[in-house]
Amino acid sequence: MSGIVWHIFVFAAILIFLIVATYRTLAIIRLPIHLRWELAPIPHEKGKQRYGGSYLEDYEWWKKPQRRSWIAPIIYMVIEIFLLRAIWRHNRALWPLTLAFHTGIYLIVGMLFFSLVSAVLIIAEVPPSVLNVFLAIVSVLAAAGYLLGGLGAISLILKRALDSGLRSFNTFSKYFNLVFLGALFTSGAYAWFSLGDFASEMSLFIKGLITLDAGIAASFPLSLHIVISLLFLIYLPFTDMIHFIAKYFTYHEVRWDDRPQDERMKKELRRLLSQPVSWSAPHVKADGKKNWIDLTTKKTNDEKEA
Amino acid sequence: MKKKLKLTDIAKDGDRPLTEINLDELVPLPPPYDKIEELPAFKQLTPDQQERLICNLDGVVSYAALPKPKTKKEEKRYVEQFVSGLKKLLSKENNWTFLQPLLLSIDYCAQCQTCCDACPIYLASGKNEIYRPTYRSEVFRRLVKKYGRPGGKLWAKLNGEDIELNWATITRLYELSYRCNLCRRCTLSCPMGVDNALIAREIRKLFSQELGWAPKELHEKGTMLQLEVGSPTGLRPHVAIDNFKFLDEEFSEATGIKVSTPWDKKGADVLFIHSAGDIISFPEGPISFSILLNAAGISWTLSSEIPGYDGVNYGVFYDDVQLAKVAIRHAQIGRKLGVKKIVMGECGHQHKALLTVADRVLTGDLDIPRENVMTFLENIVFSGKIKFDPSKNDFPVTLHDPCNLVRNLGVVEPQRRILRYLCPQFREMTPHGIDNYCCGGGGGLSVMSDVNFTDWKAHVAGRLKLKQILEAFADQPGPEVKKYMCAPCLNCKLQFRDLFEYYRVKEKSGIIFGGLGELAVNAMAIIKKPFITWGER
Amino acid sequence: MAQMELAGNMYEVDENGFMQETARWTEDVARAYAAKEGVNEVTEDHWTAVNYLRSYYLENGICPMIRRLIKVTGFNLSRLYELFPEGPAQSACKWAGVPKPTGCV
Repeated sequence: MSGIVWHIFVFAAILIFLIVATYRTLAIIRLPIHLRWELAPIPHEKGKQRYGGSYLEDYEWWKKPQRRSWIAPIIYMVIEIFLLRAIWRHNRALWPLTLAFHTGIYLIVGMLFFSLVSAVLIIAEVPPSVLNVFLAIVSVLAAAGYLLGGLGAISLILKRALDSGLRSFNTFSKYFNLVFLGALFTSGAYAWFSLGDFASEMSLFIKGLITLDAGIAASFPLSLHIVISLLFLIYLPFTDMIHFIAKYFTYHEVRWDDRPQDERMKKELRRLLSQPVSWSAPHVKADGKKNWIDLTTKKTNDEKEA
Repeated sequence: MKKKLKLTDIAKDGDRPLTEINLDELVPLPPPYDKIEELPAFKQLTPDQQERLICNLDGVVSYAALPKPKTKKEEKRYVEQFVSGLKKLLSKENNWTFLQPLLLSIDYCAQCQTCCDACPIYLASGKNEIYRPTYRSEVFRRLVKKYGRPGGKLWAKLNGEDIELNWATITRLYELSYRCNLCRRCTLSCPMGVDNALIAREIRKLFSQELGWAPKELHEKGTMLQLEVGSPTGLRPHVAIDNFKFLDEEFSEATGIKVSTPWDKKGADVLFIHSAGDIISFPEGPISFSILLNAAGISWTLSSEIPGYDGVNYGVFYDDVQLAKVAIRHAQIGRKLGVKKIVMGECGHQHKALLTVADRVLTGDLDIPRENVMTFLENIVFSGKIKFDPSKNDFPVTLHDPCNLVRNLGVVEPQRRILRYLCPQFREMTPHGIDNYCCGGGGGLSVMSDVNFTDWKAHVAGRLKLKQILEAFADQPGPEVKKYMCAPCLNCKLQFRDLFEYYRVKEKSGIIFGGLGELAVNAMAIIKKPFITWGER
Repeated sequence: MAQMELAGNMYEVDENGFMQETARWTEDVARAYAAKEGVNEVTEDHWTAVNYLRSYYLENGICPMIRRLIKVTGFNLSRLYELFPEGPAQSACKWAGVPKPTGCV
């Protein structure tokens, strides 16, 4: 593949990923505020994490400032992301398979980061003794990542196909996603094993991208791996594999959203309650024009609501 | 009979059930409840009922009034209504209340089935496919994607996730949405944070707000009756006052202290809202609060305004419009009385409705401070204003954690601090706290008893809970030792009443159930006769 | 709506057998319900409870609390279970022709 095609391909893939992922994230963010539907344990509750208590336990909680921990939710998510705690607790049989798979992904992301660092170091012409340390890291991360990820992907495909509990829920895309990622890991492993110096070639390739080198090139095994990876990157944001983004919202915006009303929220709620309702059941008495407040509030003799 | 059920089966063969309940497939109970021959049989539908009613899910019917269309055209009309309801469920104007949580749960399930092993109903049924949280959710998810998104039908065919939408699909989906306790154990276990209980509730909401299909006990004789006469029990204001007068006298005589319950006191500090069902069926509960609040010198009142003396809000189980109507009425009554805070009685969903779920529809000066009963009671018990003698509660006691109070609100410790102080033989169930099992009556199921639904609740939904209770008392299992299961929630108590009657638990194991207020009053030093009478009078 | 034959007439009942048209109740209906539960002779004690239940319901729109029933009739809980096989809530209310209690009762 000639240099300029590489540049277009790589940057287009990254751009498409960023645009689509951002669009989908914004689509979630732009959804209106919802009614409270929290679920204990809520990690930001200071002093109650051990048993999953909330501020509602405090006597006349509205008279006290809310004591929130900003670090506890982060620690909670880190353990959940890297050690897959929920699966460990509730689906032990699946845990080693999916842990291998996800760890493979994390290691490859780490490998890319260190390749980028190595590329920068090459441009900066640091002495080989320094560069070699980073290249070694790249090499180890790559080997471990491709191996674990590949084994993980294969084991998950087998589990999906053989486990009767899972099988009836499978769709074409479920298998396709796993096979695609399996191909990514396998082509990476193939590249690692067949190249003399995987880390150097990878870092030089990235250097070529950074410096917009028209002479950028890669051997066949690495080219194959990069092409599969880029195609996956383009495909990824269109699927539910971006659960790694959605998970922020399911936890922080739903399960852990226990905020009492503040001024900004009150304003937004008033706007939402003024929207027209068009449900058809007789007891709702909607006509497409009356709004939530009209339909759910009976005017009383005492003071009007704000 | 464990036929391997597929998702697409939901649309097939609409006149026959997809599965049936066989007692020997259920999780076995410990002795002396382990012999199936000695347990009550599962009530089947009579031939007349099979003819008249729609029974195409699992041999159980919760909604006898499900309309039976006479023509294919009529069936089609209902199906079209379902689709229009589905679209409204996905719109900001009609479903801002739960749109973000719903879409997240629809779009990000990885179908890993981790949630299923957390579901007490699925486990108790012997892992019957139809009761997987994911079975119901995945059927609905595929319908949402097929009918609610552009290109949905094509995608469904291409990806092999096509579900036929017909009369069988919607009637089975309706009934299936009432085979969930909304306990949210599945949510707790989901690595993605997907909420299958939410999806079950959204399905119920679609049927209720668009087609007007909802259990009679929750809707017509539930929220509708409550808004009209004051309570789903049919208790009218003057009867409520009269009942309390009677109870005040009865218990003044029984305890030897003056019991009096205040009504409609403007400017009181606290508006207390009981569940009216407690007043009728478990009056020791509400009266125990009259005794405790008076003894602690609290300035409080009940309200006789419709529906201010019945804190239930069934809308939290199936319908946002009804949820809002009832919650707003409760708050308006508190505002009118000018109280400093509203405190709920011992009822889980009551708390969840008024303290959290409906919180954001109480705008402006309807946002009155609201407190949960456990914290309120803890403050009284440890205030020093009442002298307690814990030795009066020297019998085995365990605690049932109502899902709505504990897992959904995070109120875990106050009730335990009270129990550890007042009950020397208090022991926990396993699992407990936020990991508890639902009583089996959650999600509104405990007040539903049409046709043979009670059998399903007693045999399937409440099974793991019964097992748990027996295991908590395994050190003294015989009926000669009187044991108390503290269940501080009216809906749970109703389920336990059904469960205990079915299995004759009091007779075989000597266990009774009751609230926390009764335990506190039983330990009051000033009352000489025992307040807890162990079901004998 | 289901139908049930009681004392020679057809009545609308719910799926648990409770009368829906309270106004059509007669003493024969009560006897018919009793016979279905194996009680072939409805005694004075039975009528004391059934009549109190019915009049309370007609006046107040809800069945009386058990404690009230016990106090007014003078029967304790075991006596009530002796008289009414399925208990006061299930049997006595049914024989008195009042609808099944709804809500949390």
